[in-house]
Amino acid sequence: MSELRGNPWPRRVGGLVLVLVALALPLALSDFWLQTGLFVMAAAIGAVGLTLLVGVAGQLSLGHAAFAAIGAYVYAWSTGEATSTVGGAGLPPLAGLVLAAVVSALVGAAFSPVAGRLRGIYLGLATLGLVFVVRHLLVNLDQWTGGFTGRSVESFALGGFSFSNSDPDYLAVAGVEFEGLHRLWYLFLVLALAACWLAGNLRSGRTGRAWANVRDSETAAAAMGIGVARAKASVFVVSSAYAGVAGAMLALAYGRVAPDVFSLTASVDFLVMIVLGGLGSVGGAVVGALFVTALPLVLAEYSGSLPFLAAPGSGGLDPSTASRIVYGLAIIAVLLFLRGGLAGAARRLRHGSAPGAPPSAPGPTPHDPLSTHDVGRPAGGPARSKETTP
Amino acid sequence: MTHLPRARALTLGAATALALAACSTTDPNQAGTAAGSGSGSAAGSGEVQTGNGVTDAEIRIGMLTDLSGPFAAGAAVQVTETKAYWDQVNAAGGVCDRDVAVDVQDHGYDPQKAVTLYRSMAPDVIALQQVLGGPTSAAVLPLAEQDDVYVGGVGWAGSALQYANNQLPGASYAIEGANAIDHLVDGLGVAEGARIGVVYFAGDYGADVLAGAEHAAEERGVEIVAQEITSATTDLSAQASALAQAGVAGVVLGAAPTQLASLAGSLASQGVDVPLIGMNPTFNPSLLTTPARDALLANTYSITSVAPYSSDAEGVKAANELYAQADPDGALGWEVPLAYVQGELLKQALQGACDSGDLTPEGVVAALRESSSVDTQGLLPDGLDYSQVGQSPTTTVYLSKVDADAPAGLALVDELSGPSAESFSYGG
Repeated sequence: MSELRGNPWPRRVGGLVLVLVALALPLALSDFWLQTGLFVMAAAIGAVGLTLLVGVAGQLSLGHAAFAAIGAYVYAWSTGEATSTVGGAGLPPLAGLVLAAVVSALVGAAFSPVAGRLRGIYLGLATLGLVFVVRHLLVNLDQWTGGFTGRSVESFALGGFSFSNSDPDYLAVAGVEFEGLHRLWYLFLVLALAACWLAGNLRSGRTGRAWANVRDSETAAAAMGIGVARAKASVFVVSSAYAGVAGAMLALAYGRVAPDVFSLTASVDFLVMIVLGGLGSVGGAVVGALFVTALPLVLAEYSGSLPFLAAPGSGGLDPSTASRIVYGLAIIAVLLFLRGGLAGAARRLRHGSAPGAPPSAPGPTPHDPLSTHDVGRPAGGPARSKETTP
Repeated sequence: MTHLPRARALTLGAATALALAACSTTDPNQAGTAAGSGSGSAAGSGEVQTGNGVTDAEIRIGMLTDLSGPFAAGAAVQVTETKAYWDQVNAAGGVCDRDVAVDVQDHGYDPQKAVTLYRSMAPDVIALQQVLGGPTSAAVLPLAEQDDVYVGGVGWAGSALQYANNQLPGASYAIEGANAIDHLVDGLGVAEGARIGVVYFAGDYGADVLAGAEHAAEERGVEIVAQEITSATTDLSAQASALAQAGVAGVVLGAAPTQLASLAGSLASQGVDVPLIGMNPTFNPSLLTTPARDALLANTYSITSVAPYSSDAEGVKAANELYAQADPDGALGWEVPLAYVQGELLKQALQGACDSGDLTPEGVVAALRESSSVDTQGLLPDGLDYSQVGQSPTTTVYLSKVDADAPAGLALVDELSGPSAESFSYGG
């Protein structure tokens, strides 16, 4: 999304067309597709945050869902009115959204000393603990969270305009009635574009280069005058804030939050998104989020019209199982054949036509998904052992 | 370069103006209804007003169930029975002179799928007969309440009672729990001042059972020894030891069949010979093939909101015969009468909406809330009262004893409505 190379105009025009299409889509889509779109955009923001952390800065995290949960519940609590069963601060929704990002970022900051000491799979396991701790808190702090059944979420509003079915009760654009889903679509689109733009700039700027340098070799980074601990902490904070916003958006898309939404599976899904899309690529993370979120929903919806899928319950290959299998196969295929994920494949496609001109990326180059996990690489050991062609 | 910002500003301004010009905040339908009376489809006096999911020939209802997740086996039985039920209704002339078609979708116990499937289904159905599963129904119920769509069959947790659009098939879990304590005291001779164990799942189901049991314990002067577990707890020997240590005179279980087998077996092996009462979903006939069989046969009771499979009430017999025809090799169990009675409840609500001339989603919810005495031929206790949002429709439950000779392993003992079940009220 931010790779500034060659002629920028085709990319810019392409991006503009995509944005225009996204702006026009609510005029045509049914409620099912709108709801799916909301889930995709929320997941995309989370995935972009994770790709900064795992792809750019090389810190494996299995705890992304925990930060999303914090964001979702902070939004629900801070905007909710206090009732007899659950508390609430009754703040304006915009303040709630900002608080969701800030609190998640603070928790990320509090966790960053741990992240500074651990690497690779060990960091992954440490963040895994976060998911269980947060889930335990969500279930047991029921005067704030509503416990196991969760709590309802106030709809978003901005200066008297509510992103729900009411207030204004009737709003039509070009003859299409704009209900809550349509209005949320635009809110989410603005948030998603802003998040991607910010992430792209961060990645290709000074901060992103520092993160990538720390990923590749902490010693080399320190020698170049980068504060390693500071860089590691900052990427954790940024990624947590992204997750917090994504969580608040998920809460808005559901209209309700419950602990089950933010399970370990959600964390793994975020990882799958960024590996499929290509570690470190913002555009890849968005495409990965689209694939991982929409595929099961679409397969379930259209299972009736797919001849090779059995009707649910009849004992054959049903849509849910099918989508899990497609997931698995897609991940294996990407790892085996598409180095750098979908983003890497797209890059090769673009430069395949001009083999004489190798890509000269000024930003940090995306890497092989396996090498950036730096699983098993001892801390401070020989770096960039697998660093081959980008 | 200096002209670029101005050009951009102009383009932006033009785009905004265009977008604003396309906007409108006056509802043409609303304006029409204010002047006329009713919407277009309600023509004369004899005509029924119709809405989503209703055509002249067909009424469409939805069912969001779990055919690929943890409840797949029981859910498949309910789908078979539900389809057979509506086929039977259609053969007898349908509802409101229309055939009823069921749209079954599988959410696989995933709230995200449940919500999107609901979104795609809602414009085409008049009501949802079932949304299976705790987290999935918790996600769908508030959306359906906003849209004023009837939702049946979300289980018996008291947390679902707050939704005006939800119809609980029988007594809630708290009522079951209170009745269990009442029966231990009145029917099984547990003395005042004795201790009673309550083993329950963390979550809305178990918490509701515990709330009812605690209320009843206070009324009846017994003491509760609570043991919280999760659905991942499959070995209950530690809980059994704790209960044995506390010297309990009876145990109430709000969990699943795996936990029942483990708890009954552990208590028996520790020589604790006390009655064990399981709530609705705790018993499954397949438990009688496990090593816990003898312990279950000796001491175990089941309290259900729906009449058990072995009941000889007219409605239960009809349900069982229908299921035997639809799937001669199918698994027997409490799902059969449950699916039948959920169909029956929705049919009555649809009929009520038809009679009041408002066959729309809102009309079905209104018909549900006007029904203060629903009878279901013995499938559920008679006289269900749905006019009070937030309270259980009945205080009567069915008590059965585990019996190897009875069909589906449960022999009906009695219908119960204990004093503390009757005095229990939500939010009170």
